Amino acid sequence: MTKAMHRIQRKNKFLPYLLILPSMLLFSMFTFYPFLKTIALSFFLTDKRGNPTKWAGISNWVRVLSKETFWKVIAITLEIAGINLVFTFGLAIFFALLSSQKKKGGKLYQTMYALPMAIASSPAAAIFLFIFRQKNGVINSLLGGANIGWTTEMPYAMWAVCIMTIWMNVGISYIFLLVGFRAVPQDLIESAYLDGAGVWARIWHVMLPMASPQIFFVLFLNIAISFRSFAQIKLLTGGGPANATKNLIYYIYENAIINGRYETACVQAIFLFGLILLFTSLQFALEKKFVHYQ
Amino acid sequence: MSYPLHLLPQHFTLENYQAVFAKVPLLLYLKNSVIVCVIAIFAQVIFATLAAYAFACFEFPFKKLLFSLVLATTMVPGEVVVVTNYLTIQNMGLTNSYAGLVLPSLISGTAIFLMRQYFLALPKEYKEAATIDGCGEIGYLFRVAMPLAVPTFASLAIYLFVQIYNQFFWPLLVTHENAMRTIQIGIAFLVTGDVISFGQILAGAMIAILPSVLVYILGQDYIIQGMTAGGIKG
Amino acid sequence: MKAKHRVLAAGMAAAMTLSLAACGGSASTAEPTASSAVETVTPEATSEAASGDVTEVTWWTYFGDKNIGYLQNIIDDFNNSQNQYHVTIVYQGNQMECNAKLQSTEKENLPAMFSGAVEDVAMYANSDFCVPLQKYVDADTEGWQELDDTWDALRSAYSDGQGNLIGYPIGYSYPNIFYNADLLKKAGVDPASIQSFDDLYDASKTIVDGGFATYGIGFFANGAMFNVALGREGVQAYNNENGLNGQPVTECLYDSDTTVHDSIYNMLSIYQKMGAEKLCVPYGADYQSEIIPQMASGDCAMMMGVISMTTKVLDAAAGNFEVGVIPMPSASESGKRTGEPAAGTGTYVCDNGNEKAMQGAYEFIKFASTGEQAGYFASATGYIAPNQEAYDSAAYKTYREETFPGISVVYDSLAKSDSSATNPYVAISNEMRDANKVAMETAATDPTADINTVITTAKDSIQEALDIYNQSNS
Repeated sequence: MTKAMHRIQRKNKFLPYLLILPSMLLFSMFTFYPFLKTIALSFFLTDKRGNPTKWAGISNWVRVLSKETFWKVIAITLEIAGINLVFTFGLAIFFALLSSQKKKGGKLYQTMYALPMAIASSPAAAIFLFIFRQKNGVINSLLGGANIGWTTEMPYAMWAVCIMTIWMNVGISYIFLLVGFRAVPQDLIESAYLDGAGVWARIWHVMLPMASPQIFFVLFLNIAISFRSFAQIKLLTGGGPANATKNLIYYIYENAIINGRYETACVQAIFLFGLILLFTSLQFALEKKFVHYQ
Repeated sequence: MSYPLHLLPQHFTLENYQAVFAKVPLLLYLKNSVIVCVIAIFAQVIFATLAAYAFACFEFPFKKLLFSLVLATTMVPGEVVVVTNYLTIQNMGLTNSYAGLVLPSLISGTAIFLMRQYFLALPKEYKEAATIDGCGEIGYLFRVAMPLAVPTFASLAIYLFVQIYNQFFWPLLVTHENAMRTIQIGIAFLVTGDVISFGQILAGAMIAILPSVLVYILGQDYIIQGMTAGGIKG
Repeated sequence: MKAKHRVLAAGMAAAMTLSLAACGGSASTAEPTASSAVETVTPEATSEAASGDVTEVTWWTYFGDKNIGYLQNIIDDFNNSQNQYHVTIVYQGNQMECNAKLQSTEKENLPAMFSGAVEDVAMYANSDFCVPLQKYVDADTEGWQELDDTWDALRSAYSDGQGNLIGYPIGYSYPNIFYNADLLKKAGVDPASIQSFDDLYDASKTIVDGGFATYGIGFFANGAMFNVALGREGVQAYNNENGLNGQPVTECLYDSDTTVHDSIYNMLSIYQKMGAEKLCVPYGADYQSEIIPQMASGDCAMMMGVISMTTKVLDAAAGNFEVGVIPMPSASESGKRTGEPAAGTGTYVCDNGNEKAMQGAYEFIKFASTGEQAGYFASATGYIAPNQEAYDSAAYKTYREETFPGISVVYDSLAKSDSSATNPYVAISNEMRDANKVAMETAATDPTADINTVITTAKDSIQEALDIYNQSNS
């Protein structure tokens, strides 16, 4: 660090706090406060408006965690998140690398890859219900008139949920990755090429390390998104058949929004928070090793 | 057309579009959605840039803790905070207003994290050159770092537009009157129709999709430009 | 280059100011400055209310665009029929979302009237936002003839155990089975013979084994159908007479009462047999996108549903075959099987603190129950006429004589019915529906599931919900 910069930083002792102040104020009102309330509510019984009515100690926690359904839901949550994370991330990297070099017609492909994310979940689900329909559905027709209940039979319902989730999520990861790959200086790629590096070597030694900050962000985003796959489950299977596609976020929605059982939803929400936190922490533990900052 | 058992539409017609516009004030809803999106995107770009700049380029006490808190916001399940936020908005007397619609969307941990990654990836030489040129911290941010961030801003704006434009439950909660409704509620209203007209549902969906697609196509140019377009030399 | 950056920076700064101004502006005034179209609507409504002549009565509903269209005609008639009240109907999401919104809205922001399902009557009666209709009925000096002429089964479904009316039906739905009459005739199945789940199994087997259709029946994947099948039989699955003897329900009797258990066991076993033998469309299939089209194409002979689906089924059949209806079969072959459980949507008065508006809500509910209005809505939608006046109205007469003569089966059954079918009067109707649905779904999709375990699981979920509810509200 240069002397000049030291001088400026000393002068601006309060500047960084000032810079984060607006964000923190907004977070405090609409995220920290309600979430702290959530934590508090998990130790009470509540009415349907989410107001505490009776102190319950840890009985809510005991009740939620001792329920067999809860652990089944956790397993399903991990399964859905895992499948989506791997495929969304993999496909997005693949497509972004494919279109990272400026080519004719590239814009068309970019639009194609990224378009699904523009479609809201309810019309998307209408389209997918049409595709997955048992009678004359697109997939069953392509399979030569198969008679598979894609949203009503296992394991197909799980596949249906994952296919729609991946389809919905690839686009945004793709865009963020594309920005990262496009920012890799062209001369670095060219000099690697002149040094005799093949396609794989250029990707592995130049593109991926140089874009690693962006890739790191996309991974982070995907962890959060895939643990919270919700709309597609609500609209495609409703968590069925027999709870086979019910994940934690859907469970929370049922308790908080439909049943008005906030204390139950709060315990589950804290658990989900912890789950995402765990995976994100693992990711951050690897930041120093794999992410290359300038 | 009510019960499409065919793979492909049988005939082309604009009737469905006319019917949809006659039933639901989609243009009004569209306007509301766009207003909310534009306010939220500008606010997030500004607030996130400021905060991310602090996290990426300054050292200060509690930085790690504060940044962890920012990241933690992305892990909070919205389903448990939404009702509390609705009560907050009601206490502020902001139901049925753009302010009520947009307030919880003015910042996000995702936006701050994305901008932080951008600043960290920015070559250090830029900052040194700017400092030598006599640029202050804020001068560097506004005159060097932000113009270079156009592709990142574009990707963030596209992401936020889609997120906020597709919101359903929050706008449903905070607006009581049709005049303040957003587009996704209009679509849900059509879908809830007790006699299904698949054609009309799709027509409504197409109208709803159009702005997102437009935003994407417009934003795409900025993304494609890449870093080179800035051509910064200090 | 530098100049360009400055422009950009200036643009950003301007945008920031603009966005802040936009927030500040709307925040400080609370009322948004929306388009002129909005402005012309709002001041009009408020000035009218302020002048004391016309009270605004807002109605929150989960009806979608089609039904709101019909309701709007009734509202227009009401608004024109008097000059004290002005009713406005507003869509508030689906049934669950509308309930969630009612629960979490502060009194001053609530409407004067809302739509709610009949299975949720106890939930509304126990909530702080619903004012039981009985209060207004008692104060009404003019009397309400249509209420006296309402089907007994229906009136009791909208009341607590002591005869206090909570809400009044606007859409009286009726759990039933639609069938393809031509197909059943070909297969030699007499629809009138299907009275229990056992009969349903036999009929489906005849149809599928004989190659008349791929599936015998498509089930309506809704937890309410569980209670309905029990209700047909007169079985009360909750203590304190389903919560109707004045004491709240404290216990779910699924596995502790032999009669209840045997009926449920029989019904779930049949779900399981039919699923395993592929006699039914895979349980959970959406009736709109899946089962009705299969009925239309002749792949499925019958559909379990509610009568408000009639228009959709008739549309789909498109005159290619005759559609018939029979009442919902009972869970087993024991019991009286003389009750008619009600389904559908009612209208309730909502406590928003504005007495005049709430009185207006009552007046509207009464107006909408008159023969002409209720008859019109029933004939337009396929719902059952809730009272004698509606049944006799000109519009409904045309419907039952020309549009859908098959409906007479329902009225014959209603005429013979008694009040032995009761919906459980419990405030945890959502949890109950969900647990029941999971039970039916598990049985129908898992041929190896142990039915007793399925029953116990459902009972445990419901009992837990009951216990927490009673604890937090005692």
